[in-house]
Amino acid sequence: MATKMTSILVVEDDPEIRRVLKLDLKSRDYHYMEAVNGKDGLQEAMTRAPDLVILDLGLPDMDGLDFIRKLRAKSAVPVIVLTARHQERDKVIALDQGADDYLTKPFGVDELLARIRVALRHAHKIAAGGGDSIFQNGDLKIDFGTRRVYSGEKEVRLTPTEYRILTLLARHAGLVLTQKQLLSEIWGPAAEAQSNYLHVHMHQLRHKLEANPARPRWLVNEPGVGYRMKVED
Amino acid sequence: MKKFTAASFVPYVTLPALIAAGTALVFHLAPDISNLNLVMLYLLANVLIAMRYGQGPVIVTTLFSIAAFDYYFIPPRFGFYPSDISHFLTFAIMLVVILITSYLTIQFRKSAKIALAAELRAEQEGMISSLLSTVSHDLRTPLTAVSAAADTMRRHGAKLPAEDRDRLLEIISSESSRLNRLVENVLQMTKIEAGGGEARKELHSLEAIIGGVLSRMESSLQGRTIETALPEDLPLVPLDSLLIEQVVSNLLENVVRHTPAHSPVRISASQSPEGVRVEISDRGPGIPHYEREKVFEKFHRCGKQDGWGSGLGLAICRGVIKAHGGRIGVQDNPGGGSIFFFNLPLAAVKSDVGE
Repeated sequence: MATKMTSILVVEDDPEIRRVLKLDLKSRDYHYMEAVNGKDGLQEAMTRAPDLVILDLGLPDMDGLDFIRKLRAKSAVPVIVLTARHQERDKVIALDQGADDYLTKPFGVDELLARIRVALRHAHKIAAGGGDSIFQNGDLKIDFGTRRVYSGEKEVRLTPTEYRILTLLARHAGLVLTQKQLLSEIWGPAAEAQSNYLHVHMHQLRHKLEANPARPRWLVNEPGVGYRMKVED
Repeated sequence: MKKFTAASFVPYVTLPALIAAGTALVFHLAPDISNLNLVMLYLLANVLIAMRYGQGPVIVTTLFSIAAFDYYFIPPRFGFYPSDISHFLTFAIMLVVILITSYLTIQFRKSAKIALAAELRAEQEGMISSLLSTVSHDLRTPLTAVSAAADTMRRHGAKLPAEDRDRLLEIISSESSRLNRLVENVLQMTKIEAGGGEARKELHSLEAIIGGVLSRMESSLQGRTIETALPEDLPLVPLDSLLIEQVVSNLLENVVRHTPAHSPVRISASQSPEGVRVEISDRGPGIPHYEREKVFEKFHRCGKQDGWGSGLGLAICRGVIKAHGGRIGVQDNPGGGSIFFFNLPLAAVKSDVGE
């Protein structure tokens, strides 16, 4: 084989979900690895260096949040967490602690594959130095050099804060950013609780960029979590 | 176990002080009051204390009352040893009457409490039995469809024409998402019932919430035209985005379920004296007047059992809106159909914005 297959480690205790994921991922030419508990999962993640980890937050032997903390101490591998409905608050903590994205069970396979692609693309970009000078997403264009933003042909005038929020979301295009991450990046760690800042600015940003702010193309609200820039294929 | 805190000792001091003050007042204003009336006054005071403060304090105040009565009014005044022994009988009867009255009062309060608890329990049992019937009927129906379709695929899948296979797979996937919605609704309702549905309010734009719901529901809206009319200057509203998003999507699902495919839906918002008002208007069959309150009750279904929904969607909406201090309802849509609306108050939330 000319290029190395992309490998994905699935850490999940439920055998049925593992079986389905195995089928899906193998059919998409991913190299599939699995672990049935957190302890083995951590060891696999450290020794076999997968390109991406899919982690069930409800493991029997280890708190999923613990898993992420331990993994992040050693590795920057992208992590997508799988959560159940009642773990709403846990999933936000998981994201704040370094998980890259989440999916709520039950999820569609297409959704999972899309998230995997986005997370892998993001990881590649980071590894390559992340230095694109122009960001393009459908009609939305950001020129990082001149700090100008365009929606189609039209230039959009943004305040410095709006520009920073937009670029932050663009650099994580397709991935969710939590309120805490956005607040602490833009206003500093002291502002982490001031979520109203964020919602007000997002509101203005959406009005400046989106043709119909009630049906946004790019800036999507993830209730209870944060915001995501949708990627147009 | 009752906990004894500093506060629980307060009546033991203040109440005797009150008796003392009352005694002094009567002593100065009506020194010639008859003993009979005095006893009645003490009796009244202590019955009130029994009703309000219970057994402990009333025993103390009763003894204190008798002592005060003896000291101030029974000759010789300002001494504790009455010249007439028969007064001891008065004291004893007073003591017994007050204790019996206070005992009865307290018993009455206890049994009232027990009756209330029994009523609550009956209500909860009712809830549980409706829940069970929902679970057994509404969860089993999609489950049956899923397992039947999967079985058919396994046994005869190879022999079936491609379109039949597609149909079966479609059933499996749509019935599973129906199952998922039901489970979610049951969980959410349980949370609201348990008082755990506490709203975490932050300033949000309704646009963002409504836009999020619409983009997530894209596939289930099946080609309906959804018109949105949200004014540019709509203020941000203090709300729990997770919960309000569920309200909007439950209302929309309800519309999709009860109106013909391709019939138009309109979502609008406006500022009103009550805060911000959101309306979802449809051109469906409408809801008769007598059903308007009932549709928001748990396990209520409009018309016949259509196998859809758990009868929880709108009850959840009401629970959530109530937790936000708002109001939810339904009214006629002029020209046909109904308008579901809710109000969210624009309470004072810090809205300073750091730049």
